Amino acid sequence: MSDEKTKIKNLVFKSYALKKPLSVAPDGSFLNACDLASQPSLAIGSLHALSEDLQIKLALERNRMEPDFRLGIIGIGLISKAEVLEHIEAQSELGQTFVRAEISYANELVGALAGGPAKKWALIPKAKAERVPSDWKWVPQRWWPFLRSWALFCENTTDQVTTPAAAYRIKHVHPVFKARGFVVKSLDGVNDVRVNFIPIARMKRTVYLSGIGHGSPTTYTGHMGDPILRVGAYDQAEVKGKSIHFLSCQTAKQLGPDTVQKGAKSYGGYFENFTFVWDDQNTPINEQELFWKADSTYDIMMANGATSDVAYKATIAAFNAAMALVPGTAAATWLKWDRDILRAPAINAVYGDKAAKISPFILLPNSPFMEAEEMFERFGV
Amino acid sequence: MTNRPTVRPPLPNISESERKKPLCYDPARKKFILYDEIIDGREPIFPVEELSEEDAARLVIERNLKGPDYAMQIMSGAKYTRDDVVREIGKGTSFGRTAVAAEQSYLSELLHQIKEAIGD
Repeated sequence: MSDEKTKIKNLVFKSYALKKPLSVAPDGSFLNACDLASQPSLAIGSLHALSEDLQIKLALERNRMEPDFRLGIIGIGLISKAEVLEHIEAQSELGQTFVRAEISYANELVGALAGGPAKKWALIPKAKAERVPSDWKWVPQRWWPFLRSWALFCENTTDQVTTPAAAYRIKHVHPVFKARGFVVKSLDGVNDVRVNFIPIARMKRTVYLSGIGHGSPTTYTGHMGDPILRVGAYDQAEVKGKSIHFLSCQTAKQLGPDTVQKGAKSYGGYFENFTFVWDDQNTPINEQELFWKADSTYDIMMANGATSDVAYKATIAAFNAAMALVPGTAAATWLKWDRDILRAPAINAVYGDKAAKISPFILLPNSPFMEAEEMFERFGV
Repeated sequence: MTNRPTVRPPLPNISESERKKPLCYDPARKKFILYDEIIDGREPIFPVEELSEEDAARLVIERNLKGPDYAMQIMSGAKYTRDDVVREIGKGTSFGRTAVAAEQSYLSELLHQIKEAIGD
């Protein structure tokens, strides 16, 4: 037998393996690795999507084209190629196993030739500390820690429904802000209450408000339903000049536009009830995390210096990628629902400025010391 | 000029258990249509957005009954199992109607994706 080998993409095929079918074309003809590599559009998403009959047909043909072989199965013994074909044709229990094994392997190979899944998570740059602005050069370095922007998070960790999302956010979102140079202030546990929120939110150096909590059209809440922000019951200094994103039900109806009217730069949140599917331990994917991951894309993009417009688009792409991981499932249905109820400046100007972005540094006037000293005084430095 | 092959998006990778759930419904024949039937060309795609409220509810209930169990949660609301969802749809509650609308909207997008992939 010839030992000739052919390389397609990064895969090396023996000559007989190259001829073995890997998939089935819409007209029912077999497709091999060369066909798929030259025309990736012929690849269907998954061979598991083929009908049972086609899967059997494909598995049979692949085995037929294999040089003679014997399989050793623990507990059963040796099985010849002819017997494998018989089992597949008869669809015995063993035959069904052979088909599953063959299709599963061919599926991976097709995926490798097609270049992976079509939808991917938005590329989120790795968080790097932002460079100190040039107009900071005259500022003594020991002052720098006082001139950082703050990000204030109100994470409800005392409610069993919000806790998993809060835990995800604390683990995956807060560190990105820290890495970028923001001072992270997190109100969680019993501290996630309005009385703690007010003094930090009022500071001009606080540029970003975010969190997970229960919500309604008018109110974002914290520990035990404490109203953190309620339409008509907060001072404009708490939101003015800030970008906001809440993972919460319905706050985009009234509270979001209200904060923008009071001077918030941008607001990203949900117009209807945010709905998620709890993790099913029987599946390899953690369904619940798909929801947190998609939503937190907005925060992470903002931390990385994206505009609210770019952050919104990346979040939509993240929801799409999450849906593509669990097609046809209840999780996909509700991921789409959440994707479609997300509101941000990209959707409507009532949610603020599409160009809004945040910086980990307080931008100083490149100016005489008098002005700067006045500024420090205002910041309480 | 070269003739470029049409690049079609891949079919969604729907798992074995999820493929038992119908994707659309033919009201004339009262027939639920499965993913495998569509990609084999045995059945056409019937647009879900054209279904009457009753037929849409019928399709969503059937999908729930045929699919695996799950638990879903409204962030500031109740938790529902698959059977709860079926019950809510059956009773025509506000949540039941939302569940139908959400599923119908998702199916519409999924069927569009499948249609593009099979080049129908």
